[in-house]
Amino acid sequence: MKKGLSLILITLLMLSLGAAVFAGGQQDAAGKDEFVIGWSNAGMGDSWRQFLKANFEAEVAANPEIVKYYISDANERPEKQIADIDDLLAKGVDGLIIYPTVGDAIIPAVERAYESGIPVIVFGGSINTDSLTCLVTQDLYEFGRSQAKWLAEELGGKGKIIMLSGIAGNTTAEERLAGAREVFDANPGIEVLDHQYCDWSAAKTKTIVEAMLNAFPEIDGIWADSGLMSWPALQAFEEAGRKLVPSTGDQLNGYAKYVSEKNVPAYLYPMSTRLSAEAVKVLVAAMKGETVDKKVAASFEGMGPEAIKKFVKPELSDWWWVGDDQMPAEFLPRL
Amino acid sequence: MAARKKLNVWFTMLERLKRGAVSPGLYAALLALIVAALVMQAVTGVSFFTMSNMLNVARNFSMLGFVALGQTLVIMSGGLDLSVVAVISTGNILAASLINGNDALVFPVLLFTIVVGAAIGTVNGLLVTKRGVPPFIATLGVSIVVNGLRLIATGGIPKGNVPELLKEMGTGSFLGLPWMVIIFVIVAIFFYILLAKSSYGRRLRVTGSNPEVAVLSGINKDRVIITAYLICGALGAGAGVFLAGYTGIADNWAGNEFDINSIAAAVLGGAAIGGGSGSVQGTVIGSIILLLITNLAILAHLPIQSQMMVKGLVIILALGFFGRGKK
Repeated sequence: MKKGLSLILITLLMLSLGAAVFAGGQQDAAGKDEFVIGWSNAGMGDSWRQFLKANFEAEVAANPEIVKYYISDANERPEKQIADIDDLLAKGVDGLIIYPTVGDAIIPAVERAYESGIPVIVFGGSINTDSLTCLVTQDLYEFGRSQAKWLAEELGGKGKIIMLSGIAGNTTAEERLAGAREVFDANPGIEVLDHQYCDWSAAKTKTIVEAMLNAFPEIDGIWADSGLMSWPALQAFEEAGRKLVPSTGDQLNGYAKYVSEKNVPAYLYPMSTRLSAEAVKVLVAAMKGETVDKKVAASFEGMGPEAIKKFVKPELSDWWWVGDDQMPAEFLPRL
Repeated sequence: MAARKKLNVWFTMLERLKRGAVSPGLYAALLALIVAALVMQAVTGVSFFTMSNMLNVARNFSMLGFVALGQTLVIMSGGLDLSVVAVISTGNILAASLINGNDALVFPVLLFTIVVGAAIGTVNGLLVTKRGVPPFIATLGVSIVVNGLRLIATGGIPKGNVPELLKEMGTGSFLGLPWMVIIFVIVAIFFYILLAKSSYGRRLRVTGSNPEVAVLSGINKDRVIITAYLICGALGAGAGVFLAGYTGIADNWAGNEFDINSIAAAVLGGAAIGGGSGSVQGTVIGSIILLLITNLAILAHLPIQSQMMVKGLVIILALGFFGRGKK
């Protein structure tokens, strides 16, 4: 009898324990409604990075469930970034965002973070590991494609153009170029007179375009993968006494200022600093227990002449990023 | 007899060229390049010998020339200056941010920037002479510090605007000659006199070719070397300001590639790594050759891969054949 009672009691005890554990587990996975997050950033070396941070902070503020956040700065050193990630983990963050310095150099730290059980979002670079929740990137083929489509349309499908790329062999430059070539190849009316790499350097671009202007009596359009190249290219046109032609670039304010002042058609496709906000959105979804894709390739809206007029900031720095400033004023970088 | 006389004339000419410290091979190379350009123009119809192309090359040549002249002095002293990229970029940023569109400030800021460049050069020189740091390490270290300081000061974001007067200096002309070329010619003549006629030129040569002899003959070796680095820094900073005028854009990395290009120009022109020899004429021709090659490659639509190979080969050949230092 005594034995039977003990058995019943033990069974009851185990059941209740099991239920408690089960309920507790449930609460851990989905019941949490306050999060602390960390961002291991690669560096803060230029204005683009400052906008990246501003967009991150604005997005964090728009998500009230994030009660606290940490940002670490690796000063572009992978070994510092590894230490930063471990440090953020030790602080007990509920989710981690990583902007890699050198993707493959920080894999061990990324894997450690992921294995600790929190969502890990990597954005703005590539990394050779599956041990992460989601890789958020910008579609760079679409970047080049969108620019090329606009230019082809602007020229009515017919014309002679020059192409200016960043650094040979650099993934960003090569993917933008491949996207653009796809479009120009499909447009037989567009003749590519020449393509050169200008290393995202204004001085080098100007020298190269001056030589191109000598070589070609007719150039109807400029495809450049960034404003830091289409801007000096147009200056070379102006100084050579040639008619300014339609051009493409990114959302650099100096370029936007120049084309709106000269009233010449242009198309700005952003290398958007809003990517950090995208990363925060994905992280919040993952922390809430929603399923997120392993890869997200964000694409953004390009800006034609009308949009440029709307978003350009004539009174601000050449290094302001047009269109990336759509956030409450308190978050904007002070350049 | 007549033939022999002719030969003698040739020998005298060669002798003269040698005394000018410019290898006859260099003139031959320049000539070959011009012939190649002529042939290319005749065959493919590229517009090499047009006024506008020549003026473009000349303007680019001036900016490289400033830096290459400074580099020549440093190489003659037995050193090497890898900090020119950082100095040029800093000059470029200082010009735009301090002048900020105000024409009246162009010359004061130009002067100030040159002083800053000279100060950076002096640090290089002090490290090399007083602390015995190898030039390669000293100037690389200084360049990292200077880049860091500039990025801290600007927060990575170049401020200010390039004024019209500076843009005119960088892109405009006077009596058909670009301002940059005019300024460069004046500077080059000054340095020609400095190297070929002044006692500093002699002391620099002696110091570079044999420091012990220099000390024994009462030359203040350290002062000579520090002066070379100082001048190189000053010229680099000045080039950075003109570069802002040329592009009209303040760029944190405006000086990129000027290190290897200036060393190549100097070495092509006969400056020997290890010190001693080198000349203004040689460096000027070296710079012209380097820029003509780049210009021809672009006119011929050579893709970047072949451009890199051509330029690399020229630099290797230059170092291999002209740049051999003391045995």
